[in-house]
Amino acid sequence: MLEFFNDQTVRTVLIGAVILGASTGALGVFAVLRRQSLLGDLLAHAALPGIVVGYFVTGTHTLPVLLLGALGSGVLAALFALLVARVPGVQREAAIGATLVLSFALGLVLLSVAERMPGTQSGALQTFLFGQAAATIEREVFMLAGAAAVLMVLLTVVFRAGTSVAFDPDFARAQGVQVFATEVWLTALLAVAIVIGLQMVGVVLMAALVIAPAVAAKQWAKNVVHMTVLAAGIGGVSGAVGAGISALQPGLATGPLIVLSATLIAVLAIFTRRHA
Amino acid sequence: MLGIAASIMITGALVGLNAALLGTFLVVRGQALVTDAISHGILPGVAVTIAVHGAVRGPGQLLAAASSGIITVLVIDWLTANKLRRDSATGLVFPAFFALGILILSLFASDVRFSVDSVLLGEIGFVWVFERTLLGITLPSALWALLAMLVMNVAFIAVWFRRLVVASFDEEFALLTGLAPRITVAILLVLTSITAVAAFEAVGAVLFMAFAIVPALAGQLLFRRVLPVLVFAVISAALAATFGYPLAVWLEASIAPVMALCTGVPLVVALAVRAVAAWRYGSAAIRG
Repeated sequence: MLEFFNDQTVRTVLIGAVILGASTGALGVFAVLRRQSLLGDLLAHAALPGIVVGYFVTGTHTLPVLLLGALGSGVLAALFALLVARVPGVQREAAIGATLVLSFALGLVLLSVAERMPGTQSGALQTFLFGQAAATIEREVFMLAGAAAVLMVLLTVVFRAGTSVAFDPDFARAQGVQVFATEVWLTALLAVAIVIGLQMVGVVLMAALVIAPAVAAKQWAKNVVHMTVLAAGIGGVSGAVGAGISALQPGLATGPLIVLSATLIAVLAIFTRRHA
Repeated sequence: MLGIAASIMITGALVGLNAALLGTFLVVRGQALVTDAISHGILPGVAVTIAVHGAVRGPGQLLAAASSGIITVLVIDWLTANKLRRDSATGLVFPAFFALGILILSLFASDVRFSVDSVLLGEIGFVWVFERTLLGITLPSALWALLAMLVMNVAFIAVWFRRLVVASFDEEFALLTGLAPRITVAILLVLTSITAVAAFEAVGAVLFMAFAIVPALAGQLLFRRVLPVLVFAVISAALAATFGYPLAVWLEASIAPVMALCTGVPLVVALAVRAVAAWRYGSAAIRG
């Protein structure tokens, strides 16, 4: 067992998973408080076409390429969904759901075409769809840690305004908070968190990694600061457990394991919650 | 009996017909994302069935696999009623079911011909491989399952159309007049789960959702009353799947995702029609 944790590769993967789990967990707090779980799901699925195009154009799937592609198509899809939802008679759920599945289908079409191209490694599909923590290399861990640190600073800056906007936008406005700017800021942070996590758990399950730790933390927390710290901890533990188990046996995808760990903690939290 | 191209196109069209029939009522009820939950939630049931039997064949296995979709909806409802907000409950539950399904498949079904990729891409290109003869007619077995679902879904909607409409727009009135809205909606969700399983072999787990909600949303943009929305959704879903096949062959892309993407064509057309109407007659342009 000790030998297992001394293994350089395994250690890199574990550290990467902990950083990712903790930062997406913390950033998920406002998504859950502002009822944006759906938007998270949309951003994650809609990242796929952007990732594939980035892969097409540059021939690599390094973190910056993934980030830019995923952000680009995620933002386009979110705008399209908002536009459709504004048509009178259309329900928001249907607009988001339709956009989500159409952009996902587009991503799969592009991916199936890309996989035929010479020089493409097979198995790219599984990497993008279910994540591949095992491929995390040391250089990427430093990038992840840097990105996570920046995100945490940006979250701290918006924390007070975000809290009042999440609970009572009208009161926040009366207090002189820039409500719209705060909302844009929080949504942008959510988008970046989702995009960073894609490498680890893949597009299909990414939204769950944002939601589950925050839902778990909400059951136990006394206030929003407490909830954020708890969510980060739960996300980190889920990342470590999932990545650890998948390193034990080849062929076990990391994404599903991380998501199941986080969900188990959330279920436990729901049954042992402190407030009625 | 059928050629390869014909069986692929007919299977696709049947997926579209079935999904749009049920999806229309879910969309007009404002429950579009139940199809999201169900299409992910069937996976553990499908995975166990595949691990045990090698495939999902016949009514018994279809029902067994569909049960996990029904359980997903029940768990979400239960969490919503007791502890959580609906969006959190949905976002928590169905990814976990999906993750569980993927795990079961990769652990226990890896020696079967089934690959995890098919969960997302479907295997509509190979539906013609497994045939079954009933009443002297030989058809792909996935096609038989979808035909059986079509008969049941059409019967359900034809008999209970009024109940479905009333349950969707005025649940209180439906309760008071004895139209049993809860039972009606429960049957709708059970049929959706079984249909999603029947469609699984062809289009995988997630893409089912495209046929269920995109054509209905396009119909909703163009028409106000439920019947024309339903007719428009059903026709455009079937056409999208049918024409998706030649397009996929031409693009040399996976078939089911191209079929799903084609459901976006009527949506874009409907949006354009609404935009032109809004521009010519003002933003309150009336739907037909």
